This record gives sequence, C-alpha cells and structure tokens, in this order.
Amino acid sequence: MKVRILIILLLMLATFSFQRSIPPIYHHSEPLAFLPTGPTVEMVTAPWGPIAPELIWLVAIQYYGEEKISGGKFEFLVDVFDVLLRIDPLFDHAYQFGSIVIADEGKNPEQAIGILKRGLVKNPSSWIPPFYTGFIYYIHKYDFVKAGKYFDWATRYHNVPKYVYRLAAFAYKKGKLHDAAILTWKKIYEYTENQVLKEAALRNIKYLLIEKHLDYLNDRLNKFEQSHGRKPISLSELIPGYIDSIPPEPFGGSYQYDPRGDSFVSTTYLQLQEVIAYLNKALRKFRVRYGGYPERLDELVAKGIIESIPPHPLGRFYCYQQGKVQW
Amino acid sequence: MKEVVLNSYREAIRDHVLLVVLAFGIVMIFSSLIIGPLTLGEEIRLAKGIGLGSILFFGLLIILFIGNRTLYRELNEKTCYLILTRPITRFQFIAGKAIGLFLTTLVTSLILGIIFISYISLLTGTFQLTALLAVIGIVFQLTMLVGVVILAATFLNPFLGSVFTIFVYILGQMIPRAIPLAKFYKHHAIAKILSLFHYIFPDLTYLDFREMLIYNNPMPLDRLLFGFSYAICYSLVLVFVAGLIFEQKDL
Repeated sequence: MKVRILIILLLMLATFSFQRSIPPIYHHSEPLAFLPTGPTVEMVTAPWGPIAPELIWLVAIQYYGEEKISGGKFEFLVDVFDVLLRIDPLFDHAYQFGSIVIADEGKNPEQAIGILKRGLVKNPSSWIPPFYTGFIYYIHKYDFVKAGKYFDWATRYHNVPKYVYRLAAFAYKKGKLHDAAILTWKKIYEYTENQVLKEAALRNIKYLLIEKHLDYLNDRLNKFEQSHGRKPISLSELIPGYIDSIPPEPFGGSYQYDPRGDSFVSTTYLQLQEVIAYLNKALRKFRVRYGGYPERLDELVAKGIIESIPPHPLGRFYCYQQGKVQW
Repeated sequence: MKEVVLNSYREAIRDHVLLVVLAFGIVMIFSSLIIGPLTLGEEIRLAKGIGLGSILFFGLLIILFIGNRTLYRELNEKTCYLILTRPITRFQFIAGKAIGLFLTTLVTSLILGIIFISYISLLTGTFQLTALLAVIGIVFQLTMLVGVVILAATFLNPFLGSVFTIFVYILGQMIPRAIPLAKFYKHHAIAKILSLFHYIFPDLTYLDFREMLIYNNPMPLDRLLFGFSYAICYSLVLVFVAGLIFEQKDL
C-alpha cells in the first residue's frame, strides 16, 4: 500500500515537472487565428447556446489584457469583437469598449467604424453605435462633418445623455456646417431647463451666425474679385448686385468692409480683440512689476494696473489661464 | 402506464449520474461569482448567460445519459417483457418512459432554475420574471429533446442514440440561422433544402429567450404561446413515432 502511494506521489511529481517544462508551441494570441469570422459566425457558434457571447466577451477581455501587458500589436482585436458583435449585436458595452480599443490600441479606426456601422443596422434601438461612430470620426479621423452627423443621429434617442447634443453642435461648428450647428444649439435651447445652458446655447447660436454671415459676405467678395480682377473699393460696389443687404450682427455690432484687410470683419470681434489685447498688456505690466502673474484678473484693478475690467463684448466671462486672457 | 412513468422517474432520480450532473450545474451557475470581476462590469450579464447555458447544457447531459439508457436497460435486462405481459400496450410503455424522462428533466431543470432565478434576483435586487420565462423556454427545448432521445432509443444503442441526439440538437440550433445566410448568399436551392429540414428537425431558437433576459426586452406573448405549443406538438409527434416503431419491433 505504502509503495503504491509513493509511486502515485512520484508520478504526480513527474507529471507536474513535465507540465512545467513543456515549452509553449503557440504565441498566446495565435489560437484566435482559428476564430470563425464573417456572416457564418452566428450559425457556427449556435450550438454553444446562450453561453457563446459570454465566453467570447471573456476571450476579448483576456486577449486585450494580454496584448496590453506584453506590448502586442492587437492583431486579432478586430476579429474577436467582430465575432462577438455578430452573435450578439445588441451588446452595447462591446460596441463601446471594442470600438475604442480597436481605434486606439489597434490603430484601426476604419475597422472600428465598420463594426459600429453594422451596429447601426443590427442594434437600431441604441444610441451607442451612432455616438461612438461619431466619436471615432471626431477623435481619430478628424472628420468633423461626419462626426456631427453621427452625434446628431444619436440625439434622436430619448435616453441619450444631454452632452451628446453639445458634441454634435461643436462637431458641426468645427466642420463649418454652421446651419446644422445652429439647429443643434436650438435643440439644446429647447430641451434644457438650465438657465446657464440656455444662455450658452443662445450665445453659441450668435457666434455661429457671425461665422455664417462672414463666410457669406467673404464669399461674395471673392465672387466680385473673380469677375473684376480686383477687390471692391467700397461697399457700394457690392450692394446691390453681389449682396442684397448686410445682415444684422447678432451681438449688436456690425459687419464692416475694410479694403485694406481684404475681407469683412465683425465690429464685435474687433472690439473683443482690442479688449483682450488691452488685458494681456496689463498682465504683462503686472508681471514686470510684481515678478509673476496675478491669480485672478481683479488683482489688476486692486494693484492699480488698470482702473476697471472692461465688460466682455459678448456678455460672457473672460477665460484667464496661466497669465493669458482668451475669449 | 402510471407505474411505468413513476418507475422510470424513480429509476432516473436514483441514478448517481443525475446527482453529479446537478452538482456540476449548480457549480456552473455560481461560477460567475469567480469570473465576474474579469468581465469589466458585465457580471450580471455573465451570470445570466452562463446560468441559462448551464441549465440547457446539463439538462441535455441528463437526457443523453439517462434517456438513452432507460429503454436499452429494459430491453437488455429483459425487464420489459415482464411489464408488457401486464395490460399495457407497447405504445403506453414508450409514452410512460417519455413522460418519466420528461418529469426527471423537469425536476432537475426546476431545481437548477430556482437556484438560477434566486441568484439573478439577488444580484439585480428585483425578481426577474424574464429569468423565469427563459428557464421555462429551456424546459420546453429539453422536452423536444426528450422526444428525440426516446425516438432514438427505439432503434439505436445508447452510444449511437447520444450521437443522434447531439446531432439533432446542433441542427436544431444551426438550421434556423443557416436559412437567412443561404438566402443572403443567394443559394436558393440550399435555402429550400434547409427550409425542408427546418420542418423535420426541432427549431430550438423559438424557445431561446436569452436576449429578452439579458436586455430586459419585452417577451412577446405570441412567441411564448406559439413556441410552447410548437414544442409540445413536436415532442408528441416524436413520441408517437417512437411508439409506432416500438410496436413494430421484433422483441
């Protein structure tokens, strides 16, 4: 009996030492090369029943972790999430996590967008696929027009977070789609009961109107130059013919044509530039006198550098950071 | 027939295989407690998926281990001759065996189901009606497989019967998903053949309520009613066919 137990223990010891000595044949990610991909996945994984998506989710997380720790190339990241979202196209968290890591770590924003776009069709009741499609276009592709379009798509869902509206408006603005951006800010103005946000929406609509008007006026100016081979000497050469009338400036200023500057400018913007230049000059004076910048702008008044802080021409607060005023 | 039902039920309940499978099923349901933290915040989803899958998988194992042996043992040990000398037809004998196996499956699924529903309700903090319906869906899937295994037992040995049942289970999961794929790739002839198979093999996807459970989607009443009715009718057809085969069998 004792001999048998000893033999068993020795055999177990031998087994463990052999097991520890076996060199790995595959690189840890290689088994994923055998993952079925494409439209047949759903059928192939069907016999696994309800466990299949859960197992593949675990595989996806494990694979991501291993590649992250070992500094791998995330070669099969797309395949794993493609499979997972084909067999469970309603899995919102997988769209979120998958698209971000595929675009970010896998350096493959196109594939991330491809997976998300399939989600737009297969998971039409969720705001996650359109939102993250917009996000990838914004962050990785710098395509602000498309980003705005997809953020705007996400705003059609009742449970979408309210910040998505603002993202849509900012993306449209960055993509120079002024009308779409104005429309989105109008939506924000209508849905919100927050007075501060309402004011911000109105202010942004006004900025966008200025941008839109300046684009229009400068475009007319270029048309005149193309026809006559020169810039107009005065506004009277443009009205009528090229411009029916100068639109009113939303902040109460006006649009002025400066032939020397070759373009139209907003007097509010000019005033803003002047005020900011004035404040920055005062800040430099403060630094020369006290060896550093003030913590707050009102120290300029307290220390007698300026008499008072001029009101912001657009009715908002000055953005003061690291010794510099910006609008 | 009542004696046959109770006998085959008692026989199955006494079987050690049942206890082992049941124990593994319970361990699997609670396995999400260990792997849950690795799921990046998807613990509940994992618990639902693995729990539901375990009930189906271990239910299938019980059907394979017990169902295939139940008739074979009677024939091999010649105990069925004794039973058939009593005022009981061969069809009643087969029906009794099927009902006994169904009861065994029902009891084990209910034990696993109650543990699963309690666990999920504890995790989510509310009673999950969708979990109950999903478990009932699995019971009906297993009911169809009981029919398959009883049919297989009338003309195949336990090993081949198990292979046949697994084969039918796989086809029952794959065919409904293969038809749209064949249509998508414009393989119309294959789609037609698959559609024919769709009527022959059980469609287990009708009774798969995983999506409703995980995403808390509403459970369409018509799907429930038609699904359950389909499963009952399909199982009855198989039991009747098994009865016919057994009646013709040269014992």
